[in-house]
Amino acid sequence: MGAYVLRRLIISIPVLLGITLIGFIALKLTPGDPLRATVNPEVLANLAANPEILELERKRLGLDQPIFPNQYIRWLGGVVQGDFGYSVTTKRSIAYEITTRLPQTLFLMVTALTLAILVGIPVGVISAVRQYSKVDYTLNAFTIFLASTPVFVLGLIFVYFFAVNLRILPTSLQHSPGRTDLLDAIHHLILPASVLAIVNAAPVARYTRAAMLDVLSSEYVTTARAKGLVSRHVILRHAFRNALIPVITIIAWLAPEAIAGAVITEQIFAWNGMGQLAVKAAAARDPSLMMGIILITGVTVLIVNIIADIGYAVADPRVRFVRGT
Amino acid sequence: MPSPTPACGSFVGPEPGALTSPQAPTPAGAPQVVVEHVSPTRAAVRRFLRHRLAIIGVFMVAAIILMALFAPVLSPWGPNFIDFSVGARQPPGPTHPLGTDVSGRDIWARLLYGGRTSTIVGFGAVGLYLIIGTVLGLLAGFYGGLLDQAIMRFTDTILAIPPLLLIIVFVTVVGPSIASVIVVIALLGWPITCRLVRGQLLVLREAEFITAARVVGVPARAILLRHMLPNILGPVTVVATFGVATAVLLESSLSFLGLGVRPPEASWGNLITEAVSPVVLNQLWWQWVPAAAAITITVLGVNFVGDGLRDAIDPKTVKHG
Repeated sequence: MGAYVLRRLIISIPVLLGITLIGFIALKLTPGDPLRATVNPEVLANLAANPEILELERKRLGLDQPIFPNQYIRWLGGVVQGDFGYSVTTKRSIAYEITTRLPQTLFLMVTALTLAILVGIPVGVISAVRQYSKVDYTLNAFTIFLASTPVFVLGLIFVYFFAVNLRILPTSLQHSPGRTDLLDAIHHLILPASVLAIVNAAPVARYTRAAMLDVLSSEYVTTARAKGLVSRHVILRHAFRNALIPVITIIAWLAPEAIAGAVITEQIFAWNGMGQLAVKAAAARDPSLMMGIILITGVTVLIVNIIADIGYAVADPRVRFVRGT
Repeated sequence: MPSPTPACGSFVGPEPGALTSPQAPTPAGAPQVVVEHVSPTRAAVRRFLRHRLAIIGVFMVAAIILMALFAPVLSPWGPNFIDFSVGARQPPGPTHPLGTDVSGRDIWARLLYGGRTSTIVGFGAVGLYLIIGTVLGLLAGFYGGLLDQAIMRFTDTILAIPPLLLIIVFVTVVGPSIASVIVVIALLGWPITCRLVRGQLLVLREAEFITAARVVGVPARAILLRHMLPNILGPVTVVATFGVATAVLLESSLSFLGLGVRPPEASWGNLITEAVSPVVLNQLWWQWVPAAAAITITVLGVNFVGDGLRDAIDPKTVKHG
């Protein structure tokens, strides 16, 4: 087991470096003086009067050295210590921009994904157990339809019904003006979280169905049925527990997709999170800020994948042997 | 999986069940089964034609493509023509079948020309990344070793970052336009094709007919191009089809966010952007509902076709990329 985990971690090192490289390239494509993305704008404003000092500063920060590998290594050293530099458009530190918004996005995503799993898995199981029944066809049609509808269309439909017509839910922001209590926060969370949950529940249901069908046709399930166990018992104890293993991995693989959905959802509901920050950075043509966002999301997805892979290996010992070690 | 209907054979003689019930023992000298040889490709085509949803999908996609193609014929108005005689925010009527938008442009025309955008992006981007993905996948799977490792780690990296975010990064750098949307989707869409091609190649490398070809002395390049590539085309077609659906969704999402096709150029995504304003959302339904329906129909149709293709080309070969 230890060897497997180690192997998995070693494999992810090049990916991690690749993510930082993409971030670095984005940063280097930032137009204008590289000092703007490295030095605190207030300090820079004071220095700007004297070109000689600017030159010294550039030298001190190694910005006169070759971009690769010298500048990259230096920049990476800073990033590891949490120094992401400064956004050239908002003039604030990138670490600040991200840390103020990350909790909002996590709040939204964790809620939505939990809901998606709570809805998607039972739907998939029911669909599989009643394969080719009317229930199965209906649920299938529904999930395919959802998978073909863009997030923003679903979001607008929700806004149309619940906020504009029924006027029961707020359409934007995390809080009503002047309120910070939990109830108000939850009230604002309902619409964006439901939209994101529904969008993600569709693939979860489809994969659960496939995994369940796979298991239900296996021999040990037939054996369990043959020895006369109650159907419910076979489905839940024998089939479902084994089907769950691939489903866990697939949910982890869905992470990038879920983040993309969150970007759009945040935009529709004016949710002040990472997604909105990304769209803002793009609209303002600010690659320095994009770099920070890419690093954080890329690393998050990577960690989620590693955890899922290790969890998979813990749950299913065969994985450890099949993939060597 | 055995097919319930004979996949490769045709009955000669009376219709089954016309004279005798199917279960009855065949009397001597009655219906003879003539087995004709059917190539795997023809068998797949037959399976596809029997897939009801896939055929519906073909019609849906064909309708959208035809509408995009004949946009100037189907609408008397140009996508950017402002009809001052009718004015802005007109509900659907005889002159403007889907009404006019906030600046007095014909929605039907914008919908048709938006279809052009989606079709061009969908097929253009996927076509480009199929080439990239197949070439890299072939290199990785055929030569293996360090090259394989390098390509696969690169693939992992691209896959680790949410595609929409990576695309936004590129747009941040190069600026939004229809060309940048195509190039960007192409540059980021190839990893899945690459993985699939490599995976298929690894399986094929162990296949007996490849060993046979090698033993006979067929040169490596010929093995790769004449014997392996044709066997990969099936699964690649399936992935490409689903890829078109994803590309259409991505383009509309980007345009919706204002980072894709920029107004005044028409796109389904930027037609819907207007509906972010509550007034448009509530009172100008003809501004966004048709475009939303168009996206869903296209993506649904393409997905149906993809499902049909996957089932036709033996699901087992596609499942594990």
